[in-house]
Amino acid sequence: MRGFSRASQAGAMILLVLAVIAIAAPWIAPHDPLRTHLPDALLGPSAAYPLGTDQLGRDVLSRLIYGARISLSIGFIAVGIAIAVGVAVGGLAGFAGGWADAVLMRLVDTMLSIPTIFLLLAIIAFIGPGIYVIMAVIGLTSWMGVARLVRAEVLSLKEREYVLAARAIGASSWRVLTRHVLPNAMAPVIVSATLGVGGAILTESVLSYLGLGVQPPMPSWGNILNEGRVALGVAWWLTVSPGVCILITVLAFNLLGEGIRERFRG
Amino acid sequence: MTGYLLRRTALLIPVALLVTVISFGIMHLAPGTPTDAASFNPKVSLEARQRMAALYGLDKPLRVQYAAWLGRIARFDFGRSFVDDRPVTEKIIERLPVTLVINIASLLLIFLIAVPLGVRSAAQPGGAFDRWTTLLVFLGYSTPSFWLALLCMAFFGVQLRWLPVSGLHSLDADGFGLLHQWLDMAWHLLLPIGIAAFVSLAGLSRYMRSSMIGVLRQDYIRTARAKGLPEHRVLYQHALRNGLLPLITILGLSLPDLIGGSVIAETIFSLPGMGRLFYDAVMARDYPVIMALVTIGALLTMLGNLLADAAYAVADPRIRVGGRE
Amino acid sequence: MTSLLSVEHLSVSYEQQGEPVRAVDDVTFAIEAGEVLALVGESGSGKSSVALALTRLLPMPPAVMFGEVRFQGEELLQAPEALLRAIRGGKISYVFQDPETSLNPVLPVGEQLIEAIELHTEISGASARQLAAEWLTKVGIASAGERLRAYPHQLSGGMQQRVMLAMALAAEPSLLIADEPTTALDVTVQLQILRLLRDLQRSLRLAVLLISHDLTVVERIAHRVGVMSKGRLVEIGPVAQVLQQPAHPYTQQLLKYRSMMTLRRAPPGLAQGHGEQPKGVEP
Repeated sequence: MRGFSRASQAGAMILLVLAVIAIAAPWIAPHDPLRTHLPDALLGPSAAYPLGTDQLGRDVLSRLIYGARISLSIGFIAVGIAIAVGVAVGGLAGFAGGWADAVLMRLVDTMLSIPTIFLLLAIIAFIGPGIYVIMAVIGLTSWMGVARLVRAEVLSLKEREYVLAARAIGASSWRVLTRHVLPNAMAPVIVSATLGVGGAILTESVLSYLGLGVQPPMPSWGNILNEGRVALGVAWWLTVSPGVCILITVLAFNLLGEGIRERFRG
Repeated sequence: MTGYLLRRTALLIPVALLVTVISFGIMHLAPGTPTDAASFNPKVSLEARQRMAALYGLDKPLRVQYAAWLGRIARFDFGRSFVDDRPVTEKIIERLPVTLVINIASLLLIFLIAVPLGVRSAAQPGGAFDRWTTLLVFLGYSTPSFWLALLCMAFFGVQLRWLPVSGLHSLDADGFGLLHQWLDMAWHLLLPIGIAAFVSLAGLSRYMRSSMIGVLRQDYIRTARAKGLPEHRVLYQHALRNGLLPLITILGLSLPDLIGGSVIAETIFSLPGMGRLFYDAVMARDYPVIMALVTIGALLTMLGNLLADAAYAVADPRIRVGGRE
Repeated sequence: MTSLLSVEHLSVSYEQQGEPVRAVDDVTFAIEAGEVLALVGESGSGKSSVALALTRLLPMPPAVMFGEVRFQGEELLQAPEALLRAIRGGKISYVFQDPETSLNPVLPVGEQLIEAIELHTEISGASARQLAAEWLTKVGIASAGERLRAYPHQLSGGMQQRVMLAMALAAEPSLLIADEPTTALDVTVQLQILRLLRDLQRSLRLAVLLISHDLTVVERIAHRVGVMSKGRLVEIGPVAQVLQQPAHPYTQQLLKYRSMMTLRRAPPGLAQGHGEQPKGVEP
């Protein structure tokens, strides 16, 4: 595609492959990711188990493949929530101005002051972990950047001629906002969303690693790492492979996001 | 300059209040009352539960509870820990130094590395140095820090035995002289600080780079060159001072992530800091500690930002010194 | 006698969307010691590019330069960078259009002035400071000693431009290149700066290459004027001659436009239509 650097194209390709893997998981995974088979515990990579097994004899590769499903879904949904909230707050603040703007921006400042991990862990401590909880919670703690972006765009677009023209012919504020202002503000939001999925996946992996994210036996790259920690000395594949998966996935999102940013710069 | 700082401080007051509201709100997220949840925790004694009920005035309306809680934390009374019944404030003060040391040291390290990286990249955008550093930056952004920590622990700690992997002191540290004890601590902190720095480094060097590129496009750089200054003086005596200014603000903004990062670093390396305290509290559902740390974490961040604003006001003569005469 | 500055067939080209574009196209002129040559033209005519090209201040990729530039006998376009750096600020110095953005906002003006002095003369330390103060006085800034400590944003536009002049002249160059030195200033201040420039030029016997789009400025201080259009130098000669008897059609257009401008500035009494020739129309 014209205008995109090779690095970002590579990112896009990796994500495509990943999406295919995630969707086709039931057909590609060599084993059932939940099937335990203790006699085969902690085996190294082999023909039967291409990436080895964990302490319960489960196939690591299959768990990683299903983990991709989990991580990607969490990433996308969390970012979806973040974008929805961010666009709403930022759009409202920018368009309405005045005290609504002031109040909303103080809310943004507040959310930004609390270290995200603290907030996440605190909330999870009170309502318990689980896959839907973390989707919601990651989403609700990462909308602030988008809000500021959208607000800035709305502020700069508010005074542009076509907006003034639309209002002059009597279009209602809502119509102006949704038809004219928001579509033009979308470009940086898309960049933010792309980078955000990578970030959400990283956050989910941290939470799962700490035991507060996706709960076993459901596989997530983070909790595979957690389970593999104790066996680090003897089973390096339990630590290396999930980490590499996270690294490549997040890297791909970052490359793609930066590529989109460069492409639509200015 | 004082006007600028006063305005920034004034903005913080509503934010601080909102932080307390949010902290208070989280506590009431748990289904039932906080003491219900506590009653499932076998470590909490009946007296503690009763005390907590009285403390939080759970029969009164939320507004009243919040006001009471706010009054208490204004006096730095965060209640008592469920785990060992010690005052929360005491536990936090115990752990604060370690976290502060790690964070400040990381900040310094990041600064010392990110600035030259960014400057050099900006001097020749698209050049070989720039491209390699960009690659490294992307890898840094994308690597889960806890995974990196695990790998480093396994490699440097276990395989090579170069660095210790847990705790703040070696087992036989009691017998060491004072200097030796300090060095021993530093040695233990090397890996955690290094890893905390590595991940944040990426972002900051990128900012430095774009800040410098922006500065190098300015007219006063053209003047400096037209004066006949050699390029390295243009870069370091004219461009750098301007390029560093936004970085002060960015450093302030990266504080929450740094403090949050302590949770992971301290947990993995078993360091007795605030982050580890937080993690343990979460696992044990020690609510008073959790609430206290969320509030304090936010306040620390705001303090740090205020310091950064003050530093900026001092560094930028346009703010420090008055306007036109 | 060789001219102070001699430019022969100077061309500067850039690549724009694959096509080479000539910002400066085969320009030839010379400046003698002590004379003021003005270069006029509309925006985009290439006059600023010429100014920057003379000491290779244009970013070299993407710009490509051809031709010959001789200063005091030395060829500049092919010379080593070290030579050029000695000349910039020392023998050929610059004053730019917007003094507010052309001064480093985080350094006191005294420091920026002293830097120029120490770079190109043997003077340093306290003597440099004193020389800097003297120069500030020479360019018409009162309380020079205190002003040395001021930051650019504390000074008015006029004062900032005076500082730029001081910075440019402190090392006693032979040629001053002034790129639209008054354009960014208030109208009243423009005249003051122009007068200052003229006085300094006369007392220092300075050669000046003055870039401007404003013919009034040219009239006030230049000896000769060159007209540029689309990168080419279409006419060049003594000011009186070019402005009163323009040879080239473009120059004639330019002058006609200017007289229309002057008409607009005619005194208010004219609006009532007394039927007289409006005052201030120039031929």
